[in-house]
Amino acid sequence: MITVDNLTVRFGPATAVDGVSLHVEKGESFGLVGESGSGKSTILRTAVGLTADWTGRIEIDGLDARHTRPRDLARRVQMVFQDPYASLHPRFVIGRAIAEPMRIQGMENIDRRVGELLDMIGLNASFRYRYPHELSGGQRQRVAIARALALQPGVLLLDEPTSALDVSVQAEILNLLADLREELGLTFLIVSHNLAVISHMCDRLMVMQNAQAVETLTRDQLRARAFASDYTRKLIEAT
Amino acid sequence: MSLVEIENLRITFPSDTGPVQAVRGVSLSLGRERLGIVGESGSGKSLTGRALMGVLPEHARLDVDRMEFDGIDLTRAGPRQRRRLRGGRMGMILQDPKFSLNPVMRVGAQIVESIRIGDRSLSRAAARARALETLEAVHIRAPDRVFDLYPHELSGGMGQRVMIAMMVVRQPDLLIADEPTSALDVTVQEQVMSILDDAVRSRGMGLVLISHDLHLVSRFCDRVVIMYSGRIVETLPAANLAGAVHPYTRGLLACLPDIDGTAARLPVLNRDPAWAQA
Amino acid sequence: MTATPAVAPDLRSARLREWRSFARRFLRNPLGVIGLLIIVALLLCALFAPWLATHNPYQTSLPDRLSAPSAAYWLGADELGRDIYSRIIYGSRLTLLIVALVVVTSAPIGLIVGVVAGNYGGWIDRIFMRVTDVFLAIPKLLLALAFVAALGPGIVNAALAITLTAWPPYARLARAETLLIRNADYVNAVRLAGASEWRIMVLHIVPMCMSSVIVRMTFDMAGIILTAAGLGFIGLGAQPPLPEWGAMISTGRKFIFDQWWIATAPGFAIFIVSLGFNLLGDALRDLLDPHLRQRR
Repeated sequence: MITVDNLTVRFGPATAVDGVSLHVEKGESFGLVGESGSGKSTILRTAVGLTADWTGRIEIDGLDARHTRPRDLARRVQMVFQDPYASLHPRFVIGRAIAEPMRIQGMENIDRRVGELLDMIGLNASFRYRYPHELSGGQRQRVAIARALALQPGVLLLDEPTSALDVSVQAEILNLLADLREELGLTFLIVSHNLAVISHMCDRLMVMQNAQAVETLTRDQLRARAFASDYTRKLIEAT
Repeated sequence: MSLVEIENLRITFPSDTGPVQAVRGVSLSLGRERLGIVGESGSGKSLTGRALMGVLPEHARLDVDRMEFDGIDLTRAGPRQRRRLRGGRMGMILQDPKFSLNPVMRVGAQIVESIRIGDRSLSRAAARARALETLEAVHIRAPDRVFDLYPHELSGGMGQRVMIAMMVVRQPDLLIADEPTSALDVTVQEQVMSILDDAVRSRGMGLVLISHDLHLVSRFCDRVVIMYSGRIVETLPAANLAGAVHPYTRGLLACLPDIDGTAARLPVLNRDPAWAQA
Repeated sequence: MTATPAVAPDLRSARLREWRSFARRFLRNPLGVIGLLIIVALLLCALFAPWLATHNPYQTSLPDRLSAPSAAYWLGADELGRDIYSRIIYGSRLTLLIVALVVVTSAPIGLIVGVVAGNYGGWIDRIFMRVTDVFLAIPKLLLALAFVAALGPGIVNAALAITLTAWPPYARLARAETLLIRNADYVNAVRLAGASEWRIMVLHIVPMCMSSVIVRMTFDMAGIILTAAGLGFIGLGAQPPLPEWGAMISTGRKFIFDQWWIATAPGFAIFIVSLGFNLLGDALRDLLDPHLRQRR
């Protein structure tokens, strides 16, 4: 479903991602874990076209990310951002924010779909005409998830989806994501600095450090502590 | 004798719909120990720390029956005395070092200034040597180089450690650390906490560690206070988190994902309105 | 977080609720309210000038020339015996006309230039901003003077001349805001949905620039009034016998020592109105400026 092959991303003189490859099967949940500056978020942003200077190959759902129009790619892959306080337009009511991707794509029955999406993420219809500043962080993140699902993509990229939230809210959002994945048969690529979150959510994971991949593990390998690198051990000990 | 005594602290904010109490009757006492205050956003944990430090937001109203620091009645201390205490015997570390370091002054100069505020007899050269020592103590690899940098040239983790160095050189009797490590990577967190730990052990400093992270707090503190909705719901010895009886504390512990957890779904906290009352 | 607000059943009532809360916060600032009252008074003056004026502003009456304030001439009469009070009331129309002309032309021009430059970057940005720099580098009054000299004096030309000098700051402002907004995650999110750059600019970036533009506009109105009066004063703005405040001061200058009220009354009017715009601008900035708002 997702193939990243020898991806290198540069920001000016700095290399943010250095020759990283990974493959995610359809329906799988894959985690990228590492510390700040390790390049894990950059991989997601590059996959959806938010960075310019990169080499290598990215394929999502059979589409080459470099040569596909953003409009077409949008229906296959969407992203949920880290900070729910920065990812909703402050001047748009919730219903408008969720409807916007569908309007852009010229879809039909938008009104009904917005209702269904709100229902799907567990917010009642009264939220439709509220502004983001009237919502809690957890509610905002739910709205961001609904917006990402509006175009019915098969792949969801999640960039630290719960790290700005309280732990009790984190649990609710992680549960919601797990339910949605099962219900809609989604493929997840999740970035987090929190190994416990990744272990809870992902079948396989890749540990990253200093722009490079350290190793790729299955969840069972992680739990059996069957890893090769010292860095992974350090991460586990610190968690 | 205890270092800090707070009795029935209340903090109120005005709002469109009338005054809102953000802290509702918190009582605490702290010896020369490490006390953790844990809670979620809006629980009043940071405001409690700020009230003690005397740096509440302007429009907050503070009522307290008793608030003492080492025998000094803080409710009667004037702004000047509070300022002197903040510069010397009490210190505070905030989550984001950007707000606490002077952006147009080199890091080293700021540390030297802090040292000389604490001890005016020290010569410039001696203060510089002390500053370098301190930077080394907070695990900064090339203290000579960092000494001459401006705050914006530091990474987040480095800025946070410089901030801690600045606080520790003043040798305060009480240090309030509000989410001191949540901007840091997990591997750096350990180092930073051990620096604070050192100060408590070697000098008998009192430490108040305010955090949302139950596990971090339990690892580094002697006692943990759990706050919910402006009140303390439970106080526990840090070693015995498992012995928590309040459903909120138990819920918080349960809803954390675990590397080795096998459940497909995480337990969700069902907030009981009664927790905010009793 | 606020307590759960009353549920809005549709978009209109949601917007209405936003406005109410904005109005409530605005009313808490007494200086801002004073500024607003001054502006409202100016609008009422312009609207009801025929009813508020006691005389025809163009009616000369040579026997009464230069008469001091009295029951007949509340603020005195000028060198042709016209009632100064009535002329000031009618002059409010000219003042508003100029302000409106300048604002509805300069703010959109600046906004478009700034947003396009900021959003596209690269050579478009460089060209647009260098042009802006050129306009900023020429002294304001000089450019306006040259323009009026070329096109001939008159109110509309004066307004055009002021526009020519007034738009660059909006372009700067809008570009700076756009540089921040275009990388915000809420804009990235619509970009990921395949939105065109035009849609992003018009629907998503411009609304976020509006609040700073409105604040800047309010402050600018005071400056526009002063510049217009300045042009009128040197005879390049409104032409006689139009009761433009700057031109009125200009004629009153000759009599400033003996009949001081002729120049003072319109001068006072200019002062009050620009003060009003400044007070209103200050209050709006406190409410709308995103940088200040975060601090509260």
